[in-house]
Amino acid sequence: MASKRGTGKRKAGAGKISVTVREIPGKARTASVARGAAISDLLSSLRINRERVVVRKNGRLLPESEALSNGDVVEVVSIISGG
Amino acid sequence: MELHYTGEVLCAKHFTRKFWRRVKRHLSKEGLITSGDRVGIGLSGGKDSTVLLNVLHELFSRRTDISLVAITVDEGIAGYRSPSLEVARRACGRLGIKHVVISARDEFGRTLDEAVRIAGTQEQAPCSYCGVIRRHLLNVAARRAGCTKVATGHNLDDEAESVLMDFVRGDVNKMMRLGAKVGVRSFKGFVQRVKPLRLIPEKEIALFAILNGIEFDPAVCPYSHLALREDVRDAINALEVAHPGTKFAIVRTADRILPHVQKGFFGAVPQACGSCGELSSGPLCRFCQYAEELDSMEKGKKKGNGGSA
Repeated sequence: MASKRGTGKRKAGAGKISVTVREIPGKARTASVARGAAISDLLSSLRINRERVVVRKNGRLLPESEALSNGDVVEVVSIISGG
Repeated sequence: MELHYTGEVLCAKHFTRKFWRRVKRHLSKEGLITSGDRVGIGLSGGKDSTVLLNVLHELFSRRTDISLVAITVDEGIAGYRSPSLEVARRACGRLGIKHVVISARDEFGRTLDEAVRIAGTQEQAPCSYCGVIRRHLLNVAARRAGCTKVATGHNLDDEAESVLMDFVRGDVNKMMRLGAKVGVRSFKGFVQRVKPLRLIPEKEIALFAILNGIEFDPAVCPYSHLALREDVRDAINALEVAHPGTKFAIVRTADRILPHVQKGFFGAVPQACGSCGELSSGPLCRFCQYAEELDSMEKGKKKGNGGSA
């Protein structure tokens, strides 16, 4: 279900795209994902459980099914605070 | 925002509307806060409690028959509690809610950091001390402030984790105390605890805070990685991704089973602690037991070091 949304924005063809990932708290890094990948794919590749984070793409809160584009800045905000 | 357990994709406006609808329905269905209540809100400064503070302020601040007071327990965790305490102070200042701070150093005789330094992290995980200290002090502060209820920011994830943790530990006594309303109402001096957000997933509380510009402290407790809760949380989150709706299923199943089991369950008889007078399941409450144990451990360490420690 998740991968259906945002398909209109995806570009056809193989290859990789590069996005900047800012983990909050944490450091920024560059990640490479397949062209047409969604935020959920990025989280899976980084081994981050979607239940533990809220994700902003280019400053906007978006569903994890949203597709990624080359050069996107993805903020991954941890929501876990308890003990 | 995607609610995987229902298959919905919601915009900010409809997500917020749904959030309010669910909180109001839960409050009303369970009768959590009623006319005449003075509600002590457990306020750590984290996302759950600051959202709870804002929600209850929005719903009840115009009511003349219900009053609110915020209570922060300062456990004494260096570098962690101070920033969240400031967030709590600012939130109360903005909303005009009275804010009470009660500290472990004053009431328990030592901070949580000091307790951990004495006991280490093996015998009693810091979270065991912290949980007991927080519950005890929240009740003491609420009673001193004249509260009839204590509202806490427990969310759906917390509740699902508690159900599984009680299974993992085999703690039937604790399991009997789960639910929207917690506590022995018949015991004088015990302020009943209510959980208005217990059917809202943790992630949605964080989203609500972000969407509504509610300031909260995102810091992670430095001791949390030592807790059983962390392992259980990972397991439940993995299940939730593979099988959306798992968290609701765990909590709803417990809610359906527990009332039937509680009827035939004879747990420890509640009594007053022989030392502090608070609610206890034995002659001495856990808070006082811990204080005594730490005193003994500290004396033992001093002896071992020739009295120089």
